[in-house]
Amino acid sequence: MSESTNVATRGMRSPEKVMRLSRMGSSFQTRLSFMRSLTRRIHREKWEFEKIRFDVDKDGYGVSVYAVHTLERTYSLITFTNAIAPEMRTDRVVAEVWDATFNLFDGVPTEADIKRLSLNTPKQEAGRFSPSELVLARANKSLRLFEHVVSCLSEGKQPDVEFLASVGYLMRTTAVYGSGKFGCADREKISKRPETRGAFQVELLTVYLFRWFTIELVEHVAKLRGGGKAVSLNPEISKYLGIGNATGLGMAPFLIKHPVLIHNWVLARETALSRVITLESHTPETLSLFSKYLQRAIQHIAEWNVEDQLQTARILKTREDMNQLSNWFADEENLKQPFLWQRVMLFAESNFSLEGQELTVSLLLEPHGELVDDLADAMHTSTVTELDPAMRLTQLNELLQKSFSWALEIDFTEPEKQRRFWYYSEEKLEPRFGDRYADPGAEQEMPLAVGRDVYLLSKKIESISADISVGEFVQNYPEFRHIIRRVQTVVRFPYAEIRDNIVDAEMRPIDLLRFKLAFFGASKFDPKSELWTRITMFQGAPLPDQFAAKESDEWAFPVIPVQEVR
Amino acid sequence: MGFSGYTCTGGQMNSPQIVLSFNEIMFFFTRAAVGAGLPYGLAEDFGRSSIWIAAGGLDPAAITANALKSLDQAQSTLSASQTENGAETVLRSSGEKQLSTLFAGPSACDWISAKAADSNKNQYFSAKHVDHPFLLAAAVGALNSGSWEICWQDSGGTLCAVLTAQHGNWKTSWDSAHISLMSGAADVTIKSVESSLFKAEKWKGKPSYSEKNRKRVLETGVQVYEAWPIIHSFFSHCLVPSTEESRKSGAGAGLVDTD
Repeated sequence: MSESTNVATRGMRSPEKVMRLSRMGSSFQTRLSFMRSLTRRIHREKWEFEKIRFDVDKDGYGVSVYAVHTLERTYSLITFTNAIAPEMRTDRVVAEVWDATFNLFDGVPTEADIKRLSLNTPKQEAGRFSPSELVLARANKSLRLFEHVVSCLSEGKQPDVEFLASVGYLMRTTAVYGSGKFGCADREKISKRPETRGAFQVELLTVYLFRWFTIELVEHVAKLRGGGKAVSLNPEISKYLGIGNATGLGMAPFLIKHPVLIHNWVLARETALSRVITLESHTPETLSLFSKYLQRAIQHIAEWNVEDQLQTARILKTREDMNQLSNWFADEENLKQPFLWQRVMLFAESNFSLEGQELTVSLLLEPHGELVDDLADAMHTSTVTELDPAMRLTQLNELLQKSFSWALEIDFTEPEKQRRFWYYSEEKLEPRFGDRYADPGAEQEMPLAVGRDVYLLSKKIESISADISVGEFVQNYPEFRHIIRRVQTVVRFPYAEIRDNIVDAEMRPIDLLRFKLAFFGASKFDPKSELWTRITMFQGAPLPDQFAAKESDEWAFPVIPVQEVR
Repeated sequence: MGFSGYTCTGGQMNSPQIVLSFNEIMFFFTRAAVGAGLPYGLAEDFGRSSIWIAAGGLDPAAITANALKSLDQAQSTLSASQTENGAETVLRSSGEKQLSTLFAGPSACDWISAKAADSNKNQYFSAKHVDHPFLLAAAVGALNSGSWEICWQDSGGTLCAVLTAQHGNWKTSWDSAHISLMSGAADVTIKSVESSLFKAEKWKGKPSYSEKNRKRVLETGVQVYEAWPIIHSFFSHCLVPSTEESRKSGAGAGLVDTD
């Protein structure tokens, strides 16, 4: 029995439905998202946080070390902050200076480590790092908000929450590098540690610690400016402050290059959904939680405002969808029948936009932590693509017809079907998205056009009459070795492939970015073009001193805190 | 034993030019192979072989650079034919040129993978006139599929052998670590061996590489010496020069982000 059949018989949404760019680009965070699983672990294992060093001047410039003690190990965030000229402040990879640069260090750094990093970390990609460093990252301030918060706190006031909500963060990261980049530790070094085994856990721990740092930084600058008048941030306001992020094309190739990992992410989410919607009955507690999260999501979406017109239209439709769901839910007749959650999903699929449907998925998982949270442990992989040279060509062709019909149906002889190409620029290896017929460099195209390569493979197989082995075929046509290895591997993983043409003239990279960022746990997607987006991370998540009782995991769909009337 | 190429693979005297992670080796070496003319699928195999070399604590640039140059300068070829003759499967270059090890290695691995279920252990694989024999052994090692003995005679007439075993363990028949100094094309034979051979008298005291090396390298990084510019130069062939237009429209984010 094939994996595809398994998916169908287990009542899960099909890959043909889920792995389309339009739906992927409508994704929302869920309780299986990596930020959520990180904060659950912090709470469950009672990690302890420690500010080891804070040598920062009145303007906020200096060195600091913030540590987290997990059950078995300590990790330290080492941050360097310095002044930069406003015109040098860019979110692009080609930037050369940043307000803050930082590493996640494996253990507690010595003075020698900090000195070594002080010479490298501020240079980012131009520096070199060692396996002691797990992550390298940088961030820029939101100048307006940072100054506003400093100014208010120094005068003994809380910042204006409406203004604060319009940005959502004091600083935003512009790259977070892990997995061996620039000499940092390979993932293999940490992949068997319980606390770092999950996808992107060290990268997100870095961001989480950095968020804590930004809040302490703004309070520190305000205190030195205001002296005795200065106050700290109201805990609800500081909790509402996330960390921004600007994400561009660098994230997109990752999704194509790690098909089995992507399968595992989606399989976990879809398994979770199937577990929920196959529940025949519901409890008063889950009903109450769903209702609570629905109302919070409605407010969250109401507070989600962007400049991008297309996204604005989608948000407006999602608001309508959620109001419809709220009305449906208010009808007690709808709650009396069995399989409530399945009927919620069916209602969404029949009436909502793709964003509305995916938000409904997120809402359905939210009250069912005990039922689904274990799935977060399987969202990683060590599987690599492997060639099966003994397979016959006829068998390979059957796999193509069965699992890649989406690709074979595209007519790649039409120029528009492969107008775009992905490449690395020689300028800091920045990933770029070119026009094959207008831009130079198509011959250096990254091997990401899976659909087109499958199409070409199929045509080549058709031209060969003998049923030779794959081994013999790739000796004669080594240019197909890469795609055959991929095909033979991913057919066992139905959610591995994006079932769309990623070199089509109409392709929107932003859809890939949103899909990945939603799995990270990001919110407030703010597309700036089809090539990049800003987001907010950890908004609403407890700060290190705010992990208390059960509520510490209830930070989905953050909303503006109520401002005290003074 | 004939020598040429780059020095410093063990007991280094100079400072490394760069210390790389395994991930960087995969990234740079795979694309360097593409830059030297290899199709991407074969280049991925080359990247995996390079990591296998690095995991042994050796300098992958020193050991692989000449193979890339050989292909780039058309001294070796990817064009080959494979025939079966009784127990022997023979891979040979289609013309007069040396057979590129970057092709022979993956072909040998395919033969091993295809024969995995075969009970006839007397079958063996011969690759004729391979330009850099050790890299064929590296390909088999990186496959990490059972116990294999890879043998060839170097240009000085010395019999060289690499023994691969389970769990990433391997041994070399020669005492020095100067793998990168070995030169000369040779006929290479690969045959299945019993796993017990790893501890046999014949192989006792020979240089041995194991998972411990890999773990150690994970903690230190891979030291890469003077052949690094060659790898990086081939890698650079995969990059596209930046233009003002591509800078503006081909990538994400604005050029000035002040808010």
